[in-house]
Amino acid sequence: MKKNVSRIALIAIGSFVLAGLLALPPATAQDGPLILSGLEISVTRLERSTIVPLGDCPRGENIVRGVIRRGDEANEFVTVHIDFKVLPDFRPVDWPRPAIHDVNGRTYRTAQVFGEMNRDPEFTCDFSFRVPVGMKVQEFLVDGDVTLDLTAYDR
Amino acid sequence: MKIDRRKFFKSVGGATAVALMTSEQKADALEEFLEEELEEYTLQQGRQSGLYPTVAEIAEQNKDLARPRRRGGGRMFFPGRDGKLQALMPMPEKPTLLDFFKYRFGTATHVMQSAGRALKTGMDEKVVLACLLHDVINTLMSADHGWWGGQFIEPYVPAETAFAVRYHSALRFFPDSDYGYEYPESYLRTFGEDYVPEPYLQRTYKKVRNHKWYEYSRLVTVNDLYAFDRGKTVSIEPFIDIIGRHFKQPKEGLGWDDSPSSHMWRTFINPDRRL
Repeated sequence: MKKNVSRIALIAIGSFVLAGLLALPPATAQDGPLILSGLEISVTRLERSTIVPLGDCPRGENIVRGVIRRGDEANEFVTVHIDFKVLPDFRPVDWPRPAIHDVNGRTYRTAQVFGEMNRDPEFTCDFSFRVPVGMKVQEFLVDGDVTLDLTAYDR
Repeated sequence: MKIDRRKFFKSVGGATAVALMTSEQKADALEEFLEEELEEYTLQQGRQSGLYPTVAEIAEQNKDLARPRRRGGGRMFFPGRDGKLQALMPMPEKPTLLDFFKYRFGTATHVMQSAGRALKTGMDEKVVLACLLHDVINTLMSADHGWWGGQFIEPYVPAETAFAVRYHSALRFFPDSDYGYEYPESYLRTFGEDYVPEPYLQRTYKKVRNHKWYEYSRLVTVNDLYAFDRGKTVSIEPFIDIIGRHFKQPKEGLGWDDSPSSHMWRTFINPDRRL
């Protein structure tokens, strides 16, 4: 009997710890600026629209834009505006194309890429993603499991 | 159109870069600059007014028989914005692909930017080569340029590269969010805001979408869309090894090897050949 109680208690404690771990945000999610590879990275705002610039980051003189065509009522662009500041310990980055996750964990991609991230001391980049209208955004994936929390900006 | 001299110099890498150019390279660079300026201007106008032409309006424009050129022709056959034809340098007796880049493909900034982006993002060398070659045919023929371009290079490149080039022009009409490829706003102006891809493009898309090499072609469109940044300077140098590994240079020289596309290379060499 005593053995059974201990086991139940152990399972309960284990479940509680596991649930707690699962509920935690990713270790690298940030409320304030994220510091990565000598870059200070801050989300400034989120925007929804049907026409977006599609330049790389940092932005060059690229004039290409993407569009959701008239009649496509199911999709829209979510654009994540991000400020970058180059710090003294900057190291060249080799990050993959960024992506975002919605609240259900689905991934949305862009063809925009990170380039020479120390070309200017400070700059802003816009990354746009085609998503279903009204999709709730969760996070922006910078590199591997390094993410920026977007929930506070998606209102 | 008034030319912003400083902006033009910056677009080609500065005054030193201009000083190193041949006169025909300068003419090419200027033409490319003016085309981009015009594109930017028209896009700005479109954004301000919120208006794009319709398919019917573009069809009406095409009825104008007094216009200087048809839209689908290659630019080597028509005067540039300076009113002159592109000057043609003599080609070597046994021309290589690099000779065509040097003497016939114009500044080729767009394709080199596209290939540079593919290289930087770690794409397969067959994709990099496809990006490098995907639009060079536009100097000869723009209409359905993917098919023309694929046929042009097919005897000399890996099958995946020819496939990628052949179908990239069709895939450009179809967004693919898995790759982040979007419908270009400029197509609203070029093809009309109510344009629906013709049935042959729809069929091609369905076929290619289910093909095992779909990604090769899609990645060309992904790099194609973004490679119009005139602030970036590029050269053929980073691609020479890739060309060496994947492009089968005929010993007779391109154009003289009796391949199924030799005639296209010869037309590049001598577009003034009457018949």
